[in-house]
Amino acid sequence: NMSLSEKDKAAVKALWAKVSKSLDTFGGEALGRMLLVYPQTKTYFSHWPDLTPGSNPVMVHGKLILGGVTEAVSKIDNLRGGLLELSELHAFKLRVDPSNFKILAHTIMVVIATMFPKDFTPEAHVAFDKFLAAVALGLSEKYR
Amino acid sequence: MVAWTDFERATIKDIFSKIDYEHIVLFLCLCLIVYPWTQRYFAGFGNLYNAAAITSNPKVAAHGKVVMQGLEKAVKNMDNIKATFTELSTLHSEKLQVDPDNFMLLGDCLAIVVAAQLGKDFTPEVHAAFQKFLAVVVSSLRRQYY
Repeated sequence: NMSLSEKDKAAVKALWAKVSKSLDTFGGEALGRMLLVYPQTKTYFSHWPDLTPGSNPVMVHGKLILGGVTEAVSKIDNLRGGLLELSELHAFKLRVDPSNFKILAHTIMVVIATMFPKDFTPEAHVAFDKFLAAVALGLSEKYR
Repeated sequence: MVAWTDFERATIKDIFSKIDYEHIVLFLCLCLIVYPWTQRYFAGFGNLYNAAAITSNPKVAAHGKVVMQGLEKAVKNMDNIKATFTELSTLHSEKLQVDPDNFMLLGDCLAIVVAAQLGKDFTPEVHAAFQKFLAVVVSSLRRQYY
């Protein structure tokens, strides 16, 4: 488990402060890309009428997910404890295979790169990659 | 054999014609920074101590160009990437002894750098075509491992 240094946490908070102003569209973008680029992820959304990028279910749900990431940023000092409820949701109700967390993390970072290329420096990228990996670990906490 | 749509072919060629070659080599720097265990394959490259050292290291930049040249070869031979990369696959497996799981790490870094360069033009559809291309490249590089 690669834990976050104080420098990492500061970098994540600084990046998220810039990025979260666009949260309304950002999450939907990341989710839409995930469904398009990694079609195996569509298997979790067979109950939606429309899975195309920009569609209403995708935008609404993307915003919800990114809200979860914002919550994780606020709990960055205790991700395993802070995400217990969300972990229970993913473990017992949604039953998302944890390998998918990495996939969404990647599309989130691609969207950040397209929208904030100057802010997504290599230093911000490595800190954020570590952070999303730690979030994934926190979400997997209750799986078994 | 991989089935490419007309959109995918045109998109891949378009991406490679649009990217800023001087700065694209950052993708290799990024891999060494974000996934530092990949530095194990670059022991002879001198100072890789921190992000600043890596991004200003001339050997890393030169090698980034070498990798890009390999990718350009794939773009020119999109219908036969597997055969095009047979020798490179054997090289990575037998001589360089690179853990093939690292290929996608590097691929993802390239996707991020291209995304940063193209911005809005890196639409979800363009992104999907590019990741498919990367997946084919990675699969071809894994082919000769045994």
